[in-house]
Amino acid sequence: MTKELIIAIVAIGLLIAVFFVSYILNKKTPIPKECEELKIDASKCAACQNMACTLRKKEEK
Amino acid sequence: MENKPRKLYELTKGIIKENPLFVLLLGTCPSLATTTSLEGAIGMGFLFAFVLIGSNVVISLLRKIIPSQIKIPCYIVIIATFVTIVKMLSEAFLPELYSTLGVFISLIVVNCIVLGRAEAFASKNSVGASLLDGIGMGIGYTLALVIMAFVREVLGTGGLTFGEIFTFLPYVSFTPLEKFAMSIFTMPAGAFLVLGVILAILAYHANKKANLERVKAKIEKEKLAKLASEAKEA
Amino acid sequence: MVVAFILAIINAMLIQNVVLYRFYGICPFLGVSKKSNEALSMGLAVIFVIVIASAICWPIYHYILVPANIAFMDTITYILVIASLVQLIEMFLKKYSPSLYASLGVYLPLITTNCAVLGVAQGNTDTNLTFGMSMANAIGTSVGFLIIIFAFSCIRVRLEASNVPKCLKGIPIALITAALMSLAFVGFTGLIK
Repeated sequence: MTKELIIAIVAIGLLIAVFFVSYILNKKTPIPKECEELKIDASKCAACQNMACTLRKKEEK
Repeated sequence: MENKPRKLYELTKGIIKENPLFVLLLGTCPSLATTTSLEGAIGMGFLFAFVLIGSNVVISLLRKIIPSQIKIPCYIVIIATFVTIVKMLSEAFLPELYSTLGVFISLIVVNCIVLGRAEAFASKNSVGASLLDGIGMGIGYTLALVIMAFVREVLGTGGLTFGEIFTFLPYVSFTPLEKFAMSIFTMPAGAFLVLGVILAILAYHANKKANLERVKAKIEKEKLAKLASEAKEA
Repeated sequence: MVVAFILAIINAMLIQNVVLYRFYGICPFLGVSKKSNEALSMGLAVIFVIVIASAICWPIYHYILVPANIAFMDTITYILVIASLVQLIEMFLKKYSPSLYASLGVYLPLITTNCAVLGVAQGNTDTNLTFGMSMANAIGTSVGFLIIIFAFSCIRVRLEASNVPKCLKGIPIALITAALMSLAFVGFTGLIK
């Protein structure tokens, strides 16, 4: 267990933590009064398979 | 007994009806880049199927444990792990394939098909169904890649060449049409061209079928209207 | 030194154009190019993400992963960096710049699964470029993407209005147009000796 390996494992663990935390925080922050504009893109959302899109969740609701 | 047709449907829907490349139009980036040779396409399809099946099964196994808040990040990490495994295995056992496909093996992790099937199917269905879905989609994508690569290689180099990438096969180069080869098909432009023409042919057949059904529905409606008016007169 | 930098940018932008030669970013290229202002927004967002992501991924690879002999973890690391970056940018825009979010925000999640971002980050380290050359690659790639998607959207607007046979409508004719554009860009090959 060299020193560099430990630093690297900690760094990757930190990255995973940053990812999860930023994802959760992003889901929690509300969209600033732009909810109207989302409806226009509803037809596009059907073709796009990106599941991480916050707009898609809104449309499913 | 009704489980069996259902399972067969899960397996075969990915091959023709919901073919990920030609019908759902997903995963177009690797399809254009790796289809310059037939062997490359088979290799890419095989690696892709490996990642898809593996991630489908694991995500389906863990679907009750992962909290739904952080579904997507977890899926991304699981898929990235499988892609790294596939990358290392291919670098070790199929080095020519690894150097031909290059960065597109790593790009399987952002391939819309894998994440899409994980979210839409594997997170809601049992392990068996997810396994079949993964196999079906994998076969479908490989078939699509093989069709494109076949057209490109035959028209671009005049024939097929085996044994360059899969070095365990004997080197066989069968190019009967070499005099008529159009090298545009091995260029990037040819990739766009072949995919566009294939999609146009599929759209033509879909339109024809839709037209036929529309004509049939109209005939049915006229028949019913005639019967109704005859009944009124009587 | 500066000349090499500029030449590398031109190489990534025109000669080995990201969409028409290297085949990255096809999905947004076909999907978000129906209207010109959408294409412009997408291109600008992509420039932002690719440049920042490459700038972060290169040091992580060379100063953390390689010394620890776990260079094979690069794919996982890069996708984590890119995904977190996109989430953070989206959060930042939502809180501090609603107008910018209104124009760019829709496309940010789409950039996470964009082959171009991961492709550039991975390509920089797979081919062992220096930091300067990596940034040149990133800038050239993303500006090239902007140029291409904007030009393509202008062409597609005209295509929608013209009389295309029914089976070619939509994606097929767009792909054939892309093939012609790709051929045209081959003309740039002799630009840099």
